Amino acid sequence: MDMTEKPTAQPDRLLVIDDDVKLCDLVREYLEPEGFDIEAVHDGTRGLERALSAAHALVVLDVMLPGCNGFEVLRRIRAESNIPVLMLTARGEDVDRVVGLEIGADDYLPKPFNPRELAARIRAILRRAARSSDAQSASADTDRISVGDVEMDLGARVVRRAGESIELTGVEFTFLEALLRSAGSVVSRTELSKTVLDRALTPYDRSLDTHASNLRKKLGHRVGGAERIKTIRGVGYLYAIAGVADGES
Amino acid sequence: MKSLVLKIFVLCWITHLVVFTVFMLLVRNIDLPGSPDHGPGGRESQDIVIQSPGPLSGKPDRGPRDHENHVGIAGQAAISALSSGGPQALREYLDSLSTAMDSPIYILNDRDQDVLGRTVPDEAVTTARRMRDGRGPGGKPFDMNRWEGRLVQSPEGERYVAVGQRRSIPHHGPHGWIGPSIMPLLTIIVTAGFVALALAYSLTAPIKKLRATAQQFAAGELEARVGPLVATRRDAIGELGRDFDAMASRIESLITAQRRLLQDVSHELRSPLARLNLALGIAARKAGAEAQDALDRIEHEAEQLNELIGQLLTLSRLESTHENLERSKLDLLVIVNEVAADADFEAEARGCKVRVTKRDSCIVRGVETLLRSAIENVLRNAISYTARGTDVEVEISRQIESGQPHAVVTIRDHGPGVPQEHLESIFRPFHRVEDARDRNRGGTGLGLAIAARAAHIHGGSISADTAPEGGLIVKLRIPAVTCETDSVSEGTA
Repeated sequence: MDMTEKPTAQPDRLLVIDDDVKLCDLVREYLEPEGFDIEAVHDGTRGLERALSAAHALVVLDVMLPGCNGFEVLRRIRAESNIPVLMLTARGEDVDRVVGLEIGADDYLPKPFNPRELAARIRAILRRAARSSDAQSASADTDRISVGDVEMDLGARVVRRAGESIELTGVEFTFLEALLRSAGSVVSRTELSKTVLDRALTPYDRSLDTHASNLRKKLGHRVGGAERIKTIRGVGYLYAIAGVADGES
Repeated sequence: MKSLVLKIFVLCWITHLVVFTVFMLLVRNIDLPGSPDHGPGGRESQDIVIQSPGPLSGKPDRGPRDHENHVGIAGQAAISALSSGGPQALREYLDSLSTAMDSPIYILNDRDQDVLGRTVPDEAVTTARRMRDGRGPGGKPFDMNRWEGRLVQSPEGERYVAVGQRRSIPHHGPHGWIGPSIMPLLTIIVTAGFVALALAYSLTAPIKKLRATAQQFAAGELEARVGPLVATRRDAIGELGRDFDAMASRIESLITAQRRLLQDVSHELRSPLARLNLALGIAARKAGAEAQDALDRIEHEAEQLNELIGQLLTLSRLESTHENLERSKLDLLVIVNEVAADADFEAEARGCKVRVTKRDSCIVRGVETLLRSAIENVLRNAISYTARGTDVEVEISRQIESGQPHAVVTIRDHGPGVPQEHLESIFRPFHRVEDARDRNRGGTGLGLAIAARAAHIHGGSISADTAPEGGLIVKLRIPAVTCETDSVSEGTA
């Protein structure tokens, strides 16, 4: 019954895309007392349509959908929108969650899930979205971070590498921001989990690594002869300041 | 397999030779009707040799006829000489013949007297009489020393009988009997050898193929079939091959159906379980404080079920997975380090530590999620069994095993260990070492099976051993890339 979270600019209206009608009813019954408004859709095509209607704060998307597969729906959503997406992946199919994050899901939850966990993840994603939209509205043009060839405009939510605009998802943006703010020094996994995923670090969770990998792919693996985003084993990540950071590897 | 080829070859060869020998004996016996006085005693071998120039050189009956002609021709010539030049000419002619022939040719008149007045052996006389009586040349076929006669007529119309002794063996010439006899024999032995060899191979090649297929099948390649080489044969081996293929298809469909069932059941369980979890959450919110304990308990059990279903799905997916996985080059050391760090985090709860004691960089080609899950499962198993307050030691080293570089990950705990007889079976799904303590460890009973399967998919292996001071040592061996480069796939670094 945590009602303290800040409401976003939009109403807390969630879109649940899952073909299990009874499950959707239960999700509604569970989440409505938590302050969410649920719209449930049971097939991919209609789900995609609704997701792109800009009427929701977040999409809960099941991987297994009749007709149009969840990944396909996500891919098409991402082609047009940056709406936060929480992917419900199939438990036991480790590949699914990685694929989901690679396509651009903000987070994933293996199904069957604990409903408390569902609520917590939804809130975490919404909080992050709220923070960034706050930043966006409150932004002055001073709110820019620039390290090496990468420039982040926190207000406009735009990332440029060597002048060229790069599309990042919400999580990736936050991840990169956290790294750039401490460029040249290590950001711990615990801290990243907190700021980027808004949840405590759990063992065997490779979400951060997947996001880091996505960032590397999008930004390029190396910068000025150094590894752009370096994994510090068991500790965290380091964004290289060209020519400086490489000394300690 | 070698010995089977050899056996069939030798047997077949010997059979050929025996059959040939028997055949020769039979031929000889057929050609010796009513010859009690010339029983086979001690003569077989000679008979064979004698016979050989005939049928085997492809010129049947040549020997005897040759000789008849010879007597006939010599007789005719002798008579011509007699009538043209008188006894003197005859004598000269016969003398000239006798240098070429061992035995003389007698020319007998009506009264069985030699024209030249030589003493005629009784046998020659008998032969001459037989000829004159129209009873054929007489004598016994293949009797080298028999007498043969030929009726000859002088131009004046006088009838004589030329009688000569059949040429004895050596008179076939310097290589006469050795050549035509040994060569065919060698030919027979060699030909029979080749035939035997061909037979041996034609029998064992399909058996070899069957065996290879059976081995593949046993190794889990359910689509292995003997194929047309064997199955199209029309003999018993072909039938065996077809039956094998039919059996393999049947087993494959059964196993596939069983796996699919397992997978489907797990999938289907997931939906009600997801609903159950939600309903539980709703109930927990509505229920009073006194129900919380029970609800927590239900939640815990539901979580166990979630975990079990997840593992079951992982395992059944791994079991139906073959070579179509996307592999990349990665450093197993990186994975070991990451998983060990995570496991250490988990182990803290039990007052334990996970220490990586040896770190070799090992580049392997593989599926990262599978390798990670293999190491993770072994490590979590170790953590759940190691005694409170002890360390789990992890080691990764690059070793050459049977000529191939391998990444060997060794994970040892300080727990109760596993009895010798269970060391292999702990990698089977749901295998429990008979021990009441086991039940409370948690875990699904599938972790090690998943690890084993993942290792197998990478062409590696997994084995367990008991440490001398107690505790379990699990070794994961994954074939490493021969030439180490630093082009490790991104995303793992």
